[in-house]
Amino acid sequence: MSASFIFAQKFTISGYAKDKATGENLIGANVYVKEIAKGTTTNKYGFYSLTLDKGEYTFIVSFIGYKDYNQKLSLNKNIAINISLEEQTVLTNEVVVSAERSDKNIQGAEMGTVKLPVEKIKSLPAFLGEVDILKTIQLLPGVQSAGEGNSGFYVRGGGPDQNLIILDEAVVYNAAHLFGFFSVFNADVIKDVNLIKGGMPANYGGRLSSVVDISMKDGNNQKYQVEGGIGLISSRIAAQGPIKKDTASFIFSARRTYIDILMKPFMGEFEKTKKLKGSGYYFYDLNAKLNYRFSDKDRLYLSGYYGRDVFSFKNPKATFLVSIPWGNATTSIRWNHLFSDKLFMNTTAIFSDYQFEFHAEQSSFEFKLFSGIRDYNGKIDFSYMPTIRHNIGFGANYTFHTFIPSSVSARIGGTTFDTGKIKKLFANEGAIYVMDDFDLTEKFKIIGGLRATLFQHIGPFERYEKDAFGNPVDTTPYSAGKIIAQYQHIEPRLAVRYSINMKSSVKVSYTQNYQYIHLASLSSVSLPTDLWIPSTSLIKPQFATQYAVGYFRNFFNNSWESSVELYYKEMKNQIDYKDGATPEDGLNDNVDYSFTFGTGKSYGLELFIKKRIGKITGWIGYTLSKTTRLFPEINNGLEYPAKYDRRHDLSTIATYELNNKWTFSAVFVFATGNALTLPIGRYLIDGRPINQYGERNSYRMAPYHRMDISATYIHKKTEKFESSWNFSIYNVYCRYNPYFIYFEDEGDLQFLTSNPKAKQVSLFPILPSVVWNFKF
Amino acid sequence: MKRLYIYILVLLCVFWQACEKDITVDLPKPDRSIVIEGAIESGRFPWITVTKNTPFFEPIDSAALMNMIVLNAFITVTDGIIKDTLHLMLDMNLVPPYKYVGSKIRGEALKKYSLYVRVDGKEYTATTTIPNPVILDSLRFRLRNPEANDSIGYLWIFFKDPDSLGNNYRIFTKTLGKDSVFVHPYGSVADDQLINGKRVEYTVYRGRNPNIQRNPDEEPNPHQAPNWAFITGEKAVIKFCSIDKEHFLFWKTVEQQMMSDGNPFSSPTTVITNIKGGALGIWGGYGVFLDTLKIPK
Repeated sequence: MSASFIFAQKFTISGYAKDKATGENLIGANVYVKEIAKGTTTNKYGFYSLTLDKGEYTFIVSFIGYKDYNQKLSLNKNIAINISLEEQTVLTNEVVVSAERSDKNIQGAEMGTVKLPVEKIKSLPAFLGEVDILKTIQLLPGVQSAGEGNSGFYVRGGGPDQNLIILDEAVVYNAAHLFGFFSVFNADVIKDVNLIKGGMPANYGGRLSSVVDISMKDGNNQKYQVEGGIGLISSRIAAQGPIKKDTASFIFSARRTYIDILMKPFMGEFEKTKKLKGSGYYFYDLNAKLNYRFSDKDRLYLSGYYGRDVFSFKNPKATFLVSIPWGNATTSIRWNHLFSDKLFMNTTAIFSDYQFEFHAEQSSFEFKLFSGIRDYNGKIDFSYMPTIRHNIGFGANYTFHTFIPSSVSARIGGTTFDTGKIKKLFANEGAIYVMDDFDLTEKFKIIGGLRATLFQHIGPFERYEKDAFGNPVDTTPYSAGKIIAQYQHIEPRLAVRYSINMKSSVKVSYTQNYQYIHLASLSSVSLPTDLWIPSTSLIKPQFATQYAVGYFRNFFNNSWESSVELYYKEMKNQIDYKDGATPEDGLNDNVDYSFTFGTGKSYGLELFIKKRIGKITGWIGYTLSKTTRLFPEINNGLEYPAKYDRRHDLSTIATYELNNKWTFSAVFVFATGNALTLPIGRYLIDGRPINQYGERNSYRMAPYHRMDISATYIHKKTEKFESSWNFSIYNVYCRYNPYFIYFEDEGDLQFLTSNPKAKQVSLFPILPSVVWNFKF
Repeated sequence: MKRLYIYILVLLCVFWQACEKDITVDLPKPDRSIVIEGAIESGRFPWITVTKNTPFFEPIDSAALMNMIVLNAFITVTDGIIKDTLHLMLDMNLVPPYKYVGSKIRGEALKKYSLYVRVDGKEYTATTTIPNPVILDSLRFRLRNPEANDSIGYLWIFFKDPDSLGNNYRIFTKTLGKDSVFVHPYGSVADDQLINGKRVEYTVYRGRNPNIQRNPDEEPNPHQAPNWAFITGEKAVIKFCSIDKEHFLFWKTVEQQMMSDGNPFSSPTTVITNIKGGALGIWGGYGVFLDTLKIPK
C-alpha cells in the first residue's frame, strides 16, 4: 500500500442519537471527535454522519442534561452506530463540563439562532400555570412580546406575520388562542424549539423575520407513559408508548381550558337573571403523532394538531346570539430515508388549515363571516455529508394556497345580501435551495446558500376595475389556473465565522428574504379576524435584507456563553390597512384595494449572557433597537415609529436547583412603552366633538416591567410514578403595566360640556397559580 | 364586532380584576385649524358652519363653544353661473348656534357646487355634487318583536338601487310633534357595494339628536318611544338622501370614529375631508326624497 492511498482512504461513521429511556431522537446533540477537535451535530431527526480518514478516534456524544457517551473506535470501515444517551438524574454539586465540544455557539457559523430545550422551560414561572414556549422565546434578545400576557412576538422590528412557525414541518398560521394570552403549543408534547432570528439558512424561507421550528416528541418506544397536569384554568393529559418496541410508537395529548366552567359560580347572579345563559369561552388542543421505523434506513412519521377556540354569546331573551369558532389544523407525513450513510432524505406531505367563523343572529337579521387559509404542501430535503468539512443541504418545496380573506353572507328580513361568490384566492408557491456548511480553513467557516422562489397568484379570480374615484366600473374574470401575477426571486444567504481562538469568534451574516403572503391586522393584539392574503398584482411580495455582525465569547470552560450582535434590516413592500379601512371593505370588492404600502427599517444591538450549567443557570438578554416605517399614505408620508418599535428590552432569567426536590426560578423583564397614536385636538361636527389625531405612534405608554417567580417541588420521583407541583407568581410586585389607554368624557354633551380624561387600563395584577403535574 | 371584543375583554377584566387608573397624558398642542361643515340640499339654500378646533384636553363648555365659533368668515357658493354670498344667522338647533346661509342658489339634482371660504386671510375651497335622489317604493312599520306586548318597532324602507355602482345614501328621520328638525340615526350612511342594482329593504332606526346620549341598552316603557325606535301612533318623515362618494366617506369615517371611540383594538380613524386649503370638515350635497308614514295604532 502506498502512503497516499492510506491518506486518501476515508470512512464514514453515522447513525442516530437517542434517549436511552424513551427512544426519542435527540435533536442537535454534539458528536465530537477528540483527536481532530472537530465534530457535527445531529439533525432534526437525530441523524449524524462523519466522514474521516482511516484511524483511531475518540467519539464523544453529548447533549445537555444527559451523560456523555465516550467511545474509542477504530475507523477502518464504514460504521453505523446508534447512540443512546442516559439522562443525568443525579444532580452533582460540581460543575459538569459536558465534553469539550459544548462551544457550538463559538464554532458554528450560525447567528441569531437559539435552541430551547423544553424541559428547561417547564421550571420557569408560567402565566396562570400554562407553560408556553412562545412566551419563553420572547425572553431572548431581539424578540419582543406583542403585549401583556401575549404569546405573539416581534423579531428584530418585523411584524407578527413575518415569523414562520412550523410544527413538525407544518406551518401554523395563527399560533395564538384568544387575545394571544396562550399559544397553541402544549409543552407536554413538544421536544425541541429552534428559533432563528437572523442569518436564516436557505432551507427556510417564505418569511422575513424569523423561524420558530418546533418538533413534537416521537413517543416513547420503550414503555407506556401517561403524564398530565391539573392547573387553574386548564388541564392536560398526554399518553405515549410503543406500538412495537424499538420500532413504532405513538403520542397523544389533549388540553382544554375551563374558564367557562370555573366562572359559573362567580357568575351566579348573572345566571339567575339569565343574563349570560348559553354564553362562554373555551379552547382545546389535540396533538397526535405516530412513527414507524421500517429499518435503520427508513422511518415514517405521522403528526397532527387540531385546536379550536369557541366563543358563544346569547343575550337574556336569546334574541341575539353570536358564535365564533376558530382554530388551526395541521397534518404532516414524513418519510426519512438514508440513501447511503452520507445522504439523508426527508420527504414531507403537509396539510395546514386555519379557519375563522363568525355567526350572529338577531330576529330578522343574520350575519355570517368566514375567513381562513388552507395549504397543501409537499417538500423534500436532502442532507449530504461527503467529508467532515462539508454539510450540504438541498431540496424543494411546493405549496398550493387557498385564501378566504373574508366571505360574508347576510340576510335582513327577506333580503339576502349579495356578497359576491365566496371569494377564494389561489396561489402556487415553490422554492428550491442549495446550501453548504463548510470549513474553508481552520479559521473560516461558511454557511452559504441560495434559495430560488416562485409565487403565482392564479385563477379563478375576478378583478374589479376601478375609476379614479375608486368606483368599480368593470370586472375582469380570470379562469381557473390562469396566472394573474407571478413573482420569482433569488434569495442569497451567507454566514461566515472567523475563529479568533477556541473561546471566541466573530461572525457576519447577510440574508435576503422574500415573503409572498401577508397578514392584514387592524389592531394591535392578535385577533382571530386577522386575515392572511397572498401577493397579487397589487400587493407586491415583502422583501427584507438583513446584515448582522457578532462577537461570541465563552468563559469558564464554556459554562458561560456571551455574545454581542449588531443588525440592520431593511424591509420593502410592507403592508397596512388604509386609514379607516374595515374588514367588510373586501365584500364585493378585491381585498387588496384596502391596503397601502411602505417600507420599514430596523437596527439594533443585542447582548446575551448565559450560564449554561451549574446549580444556577439562566441568562440576561438586552436589546437596544429602533424600528421605523415609512408609508406615503400614512402620517403624511413622514417616517414614524413602528408599532414594533421598542428602544430598550431587557430580560433576565435565573433558575436555581436547590436540591432534588426544589427548583426556584425568577424572570424579570423591562421594555420601553408601546408606541401609539393619540388625539391631540378636537373639533365639532354635527355638534359633537371629533378627534383630531396626532402623528402616528408619536406617544409612548409608560415602560413595561414585571417580575415573576416560581418554585417547582418534586413530590415524588420513582421509576413508576412522578408527581410535582409548580407554584408561580406572575407580576410579583403588582406593577400596573399599561395595556391600553382610553379617554372618558367626564362632561355631558346634553349640557354642552365635554371634558375628556385619560384612563390607563392594566390587565394582570399579581397572579398566583399552581399546577400539579404527574407522570406514570 | 368590535364591541363584542370589548365585551369579551371586559369579561376577562372582571375575572382577572383588571385595574384602571387615571393618568396624565402630555399631548402636544394641535395647530389651529378652521372647521367647515356645510351642505346644500335639493330645493334649499346652502348653509355652512365655521368653527375652530381645540386642544384635546381643553374642556368644552358653553364659554369654550363660543370661543370656537368663527364669526368673521367670508363665504360664497357658486353653481358656475350664479354666485351666492352667505350671511351669518342664529340657529338654536345648532351647536354652537350660528350658521352662514345663502339666499340666491337653491340646490338642484345633478349640479355641481363650489364653496369658497376666507377666514383671516386664509382661503379654503371645496366642491360637491347633488346626485339624483333615489325614490322609495314604500315605507312601512314593523314591530320589533310581534310576540311581545309592546308598541315598539322600526321603519322599513323598500327601494331599488340604480344599476350603476357608486350610489351612496344618508338617512334622516323626523317624528312630527317631537323633533323640530331632521335627525339622523346612529349609523346614517350606506353605499351600494352589497346591493348594487337590487331591490332592497332596510331597517331604519329612529334618528336622534347626537348630543343627547342615552344608554342604548336601557329597556324603555313598552309603550313609550325609546331613543332608537318608533312606536305605534307616531307620524314619521323619512328624508332619504343620495350623496356623492366623498360626502359618504366623510360621514362614514365620522361614524366609524364614534363607533371605535375608546376601542383599544381599532386603529384610530382619521375623519377625511373634502375641503382644500388645510381646513377640516365637509361640503356636501344631498339629493333628497321625502316620505311620510302615519304608523297605525
